[in-house]
Amino acid sequence: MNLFRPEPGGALWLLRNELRLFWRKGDKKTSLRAVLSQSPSAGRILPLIFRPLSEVVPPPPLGSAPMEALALAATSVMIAFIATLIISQGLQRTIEAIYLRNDLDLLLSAPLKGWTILIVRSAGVAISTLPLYVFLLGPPILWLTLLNSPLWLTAIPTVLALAFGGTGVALLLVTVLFRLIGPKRTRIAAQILSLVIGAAIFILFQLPNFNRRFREIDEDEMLEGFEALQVDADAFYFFPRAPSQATPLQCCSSRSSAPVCSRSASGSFPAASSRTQPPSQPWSRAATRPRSHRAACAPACSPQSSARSCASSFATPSSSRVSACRSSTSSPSPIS
Amino acid sequence: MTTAPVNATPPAPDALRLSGLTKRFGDKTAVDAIAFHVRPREIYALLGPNGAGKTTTLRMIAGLLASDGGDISIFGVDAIKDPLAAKQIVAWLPDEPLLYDKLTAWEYLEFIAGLWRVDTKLAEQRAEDLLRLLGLWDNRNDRCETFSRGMKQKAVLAGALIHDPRLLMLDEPLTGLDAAASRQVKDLLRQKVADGASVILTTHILEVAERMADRIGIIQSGRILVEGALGELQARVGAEGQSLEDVFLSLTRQAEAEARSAEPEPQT
Repeated sequence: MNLFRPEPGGALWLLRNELRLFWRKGDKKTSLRAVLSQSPSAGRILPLIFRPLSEVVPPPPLGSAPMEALALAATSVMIAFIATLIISQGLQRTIEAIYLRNDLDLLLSAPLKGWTILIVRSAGVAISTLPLYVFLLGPPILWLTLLNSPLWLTAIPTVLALAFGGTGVALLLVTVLFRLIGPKRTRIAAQILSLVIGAAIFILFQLPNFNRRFREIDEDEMLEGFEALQVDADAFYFFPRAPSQATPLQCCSSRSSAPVCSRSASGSFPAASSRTQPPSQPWSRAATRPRSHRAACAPACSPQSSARSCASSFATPSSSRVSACRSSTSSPSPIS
Repeated sequence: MTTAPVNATPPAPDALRLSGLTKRFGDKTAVDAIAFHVRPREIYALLGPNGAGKTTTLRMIAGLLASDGGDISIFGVDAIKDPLAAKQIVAWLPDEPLLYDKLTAWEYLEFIAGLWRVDTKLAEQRAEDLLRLLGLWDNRNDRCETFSRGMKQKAVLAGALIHDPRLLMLDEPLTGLDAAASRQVKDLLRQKVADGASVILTTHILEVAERMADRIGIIQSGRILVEGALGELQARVGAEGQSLEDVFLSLTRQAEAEARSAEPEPQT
């Protein structure tokens, strides 16, 4: 099967048509080829922005220190934000794809299986939500991958999973609404729901501006506050951060070590950090240490390590890994 | 002693045979155990007032609506048990042209040919022939959004014919076409019938049905009132020599009166 010249009438061929229609929507005169041809010029500018960023961002998988827990929480918030936006977009696009576009009759009168049409339509909706995140997240992920750690590439399947999962939720919501209140009201309800989600996200981001206390908070204070919350970073509501931090990939890389992994990776952050050690140095300072030192503190999977060694490093009890890191991070940095 | 002929071929199946086809929307019965057939190489006109059930019937035959009962056979293929095989030999042209505005006419035909898995070379040849025949060849690289209603209707017709269907179902095929375009479409349909296809069409332009159709079925309230050649219909209402319009109005009014008299009188 040739992915670039799919067989006519097949799912991939239909999907290619969906994407062609999506690309031409909105009177885009620029071809995809023209856009891609411009990407090298963007590639020359972006390192200037992202090289400094790679120095302060810890390489994944993030371990068990308060600052790292904060980073994990931030990742989870980011993922929740993207998921919410995708569901909101998905609601609109699902209604458009299933109820407003009038080509379903044409497709259903063709000798195609109904499931093929539904799957392709849903995939088209999911993929059509992606460009925004490719545009926003693509450059940082690319440069963090090159300059910080290849594990940042796990963000790609994460965003893909979010797009398809979010579209699934949107499809489900639209189907339920359609059954309950009919097609016309479903459209209005979906628009209102999307607006409410959009407004809620906007207000959430403006919270620091509303509250003066938020603006004055410094890094150490934030860390202390986070520790005081006794947040369990392995709690179910932090699940979305797991794929983006490569945790499941690590665990799946060795079937025999999987049970150990799940146990060792489930240590709570406050328990591991606040009881025995003072808060670790903020990443801005820790990041100035040599790369080899940072790799030792995040041993689960460095770019150079194989899948087997990654798995074995996870098999090490988390508390010993944490304390090893603690002792090294609390020692004076050779540079600072 | 007589013997049966050795090479006797079984009779060719009807192009379309409906029996007891029913569709309900809630309490309303849109199509009520309808039964008729279309012969091979025949143009059959299905006529009826608005809301009679014409489009619902065609949509069930095209596999777009699930029926609540009855059978559909297309050239011997059971369209309910094996819808994909039936769809392979059928083309459906809706009253509103379904076109992808962002595709060119050529890309649209290429896409439709792909849906029916027509060989690429053959599809290109057919697309060129159809576009030339319908006067769209010079517009083949224009996006469909720039087309007039008539051009869209012709492009959709070309799309319906690109897989060389054996049964064509046309819902108001001449709506929005000017006289010249209307003539082109009629000629094309006659050509397809001469080549072996069968056509079932609905139209409100009774003159078209009168001139083109080999047989006519008149449907009202989801039931076939009468069917046959124009002469048979005229004889049925005792109106020899009158136009199809007169026959149609006479039959539908008579059926309306019968339906009204059959309704129970409201209790006071």
